[in-house]
Amino acid sequence: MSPLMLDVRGLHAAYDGADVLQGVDLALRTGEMISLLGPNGSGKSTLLRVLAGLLPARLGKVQLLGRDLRAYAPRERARLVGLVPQYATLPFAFSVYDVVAMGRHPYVGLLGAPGAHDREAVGLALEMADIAHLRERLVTELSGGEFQRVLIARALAQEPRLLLLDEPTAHLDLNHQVDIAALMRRLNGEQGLTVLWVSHDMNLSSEYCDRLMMLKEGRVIADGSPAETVTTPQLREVYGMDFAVAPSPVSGRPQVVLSRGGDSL
Amino acid sequence: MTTTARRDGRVFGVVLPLILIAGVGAGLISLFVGAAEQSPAQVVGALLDGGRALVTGHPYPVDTLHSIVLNLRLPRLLLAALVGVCLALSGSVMQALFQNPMADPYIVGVSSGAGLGAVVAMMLVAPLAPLGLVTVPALAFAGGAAVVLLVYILSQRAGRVHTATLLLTGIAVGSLVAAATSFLLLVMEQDLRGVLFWLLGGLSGRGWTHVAMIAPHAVVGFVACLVAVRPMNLLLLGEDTAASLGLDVGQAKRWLLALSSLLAAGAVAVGGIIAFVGLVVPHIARLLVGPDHRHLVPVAAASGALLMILADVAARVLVAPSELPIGIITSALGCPFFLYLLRRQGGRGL
Repeated sequence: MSPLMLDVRGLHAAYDGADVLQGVDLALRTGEMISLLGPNGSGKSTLLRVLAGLLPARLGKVQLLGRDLRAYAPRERARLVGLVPQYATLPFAFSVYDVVAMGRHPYVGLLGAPGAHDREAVGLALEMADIAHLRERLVTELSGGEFQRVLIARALAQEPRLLLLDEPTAHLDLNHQVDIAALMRRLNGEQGLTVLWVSHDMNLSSEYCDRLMMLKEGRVIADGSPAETVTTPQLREVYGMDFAVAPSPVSGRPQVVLSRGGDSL
Repeated sequence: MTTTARRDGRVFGVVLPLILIAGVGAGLISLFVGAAEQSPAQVVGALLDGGRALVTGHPYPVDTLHSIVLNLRLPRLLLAALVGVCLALSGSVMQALFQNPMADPYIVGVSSGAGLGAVVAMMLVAPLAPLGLVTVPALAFAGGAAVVLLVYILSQRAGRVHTATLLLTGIAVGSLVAAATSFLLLVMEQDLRGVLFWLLGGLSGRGWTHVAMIAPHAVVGFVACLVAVRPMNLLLLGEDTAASLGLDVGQAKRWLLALSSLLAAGAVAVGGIIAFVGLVVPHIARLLVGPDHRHLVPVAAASGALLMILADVAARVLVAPSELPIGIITSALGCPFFLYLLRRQGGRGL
């Protein structure tokens, strides 16, 4: 078994008093790719924020590579964990290269000058995200799918071992959703990156991830393979509604088939 | 680095020297223009005498020419440039702090606090009396800094300060402080014209004392802005992203707020409330060299100085021999230009 990238036990986290996470356990091994699913308000994004070091845990333990997450200095943590936040436009006309190069901050610091390895890492990140040809373009001129790749490339420039993504396929056209999911899969398979992906899309997650975790009201409801988690009883528990599930005719992985008001069951 | 970085670098390498040369040109015009008739040669001669006096210690001739050039026009020129530097840098920092290109130096209440401080000072001493020369800027500065501090403390919640809360608290407290100022103006027995002139922003009647007051703000502020270029760039990506890249966002925001406020308070203390410079100059600089603060900070500082020197010349020339408050000039020029920018840029980003 590969060592644990993340070891989370009994995690409680809160905004302004009310616990959003109420005892979450998660053991994520290096090289795994996991999709985090659940209804709005279930705590998916909150968990991601705790793991990225943006929100302190109120209770419980969060270990990154065997060490308490809070014991890491911010820049030290940023060399291990890259975050792709939820899609947001950037109103400032930076070039693609400049935005991706900011991913080197954990190495360069406030006053240092970027060296040869920093430029190499930025070039590699641009290539891995398939946007090397966009490097001179302004981010204000990009399509949603292109901009999402810039955000991913910026996180890759950190040379992280764990990549956290918050709904990277939301607000994208169908083809770009598949593109981004395939990119995450490739980074996981070829670069050995551990990937934790918050998603709304059950089918995309089932198709591209080998492990799915479902949250509801701040608790883990299901954690396992698509075959174990994408089932009618599990979905009923998470969403309070009956959904038909059928194997994909292409991959055989379970897919949620939408039908009218559950009368097909 | 890349071709883009090189292209930006090239633009920067051309734009900055051009602005600096224009600034020197505007500075000479500013020294030549005035109520008293002197030839440019006389002015330059007086400047050289002053420089020689500074180097060798031999005093320059005491006459009207030397006194006008060296004790009226030269400090005023420097004051205009330094106020421009402070306002432009303050605006650039505020826009990075708020991640919003519409933020201006006065957004968290510096101007209202400084206004109250200045009015209180003018109730106590006449603004142009020897004591007033120091008291008005000192109380204006204290008022501006105190209001920002109050706004910051009121915006804190569980040790964190949200940018939107800071903005709205700034507006609310600013209105209250402005109301207090209005009340004082009503009950005040002194001549309101002097107060109004100060509130509208102006550089008349200022001298070397004021240059000495603002010079440290401009110099220290400029160096601090250069140190802060990376945090400011990171903040433009959003606070979560900046934090995920290892920036201590809370600390960076506190420092930037302090930096921007000290720059703005310094400018307001000696020049009154000069509008639009801090808002428009960072826009112009961004149009010229892009949003990267490594380029933006020097270009904004130089453009701010240039713009203020020109505005001050206009303030002195337009209704000569009388004088306009410089804030009227900057508003008259800045507002249409800003509206033009808004319409031109539409949704294309800044």
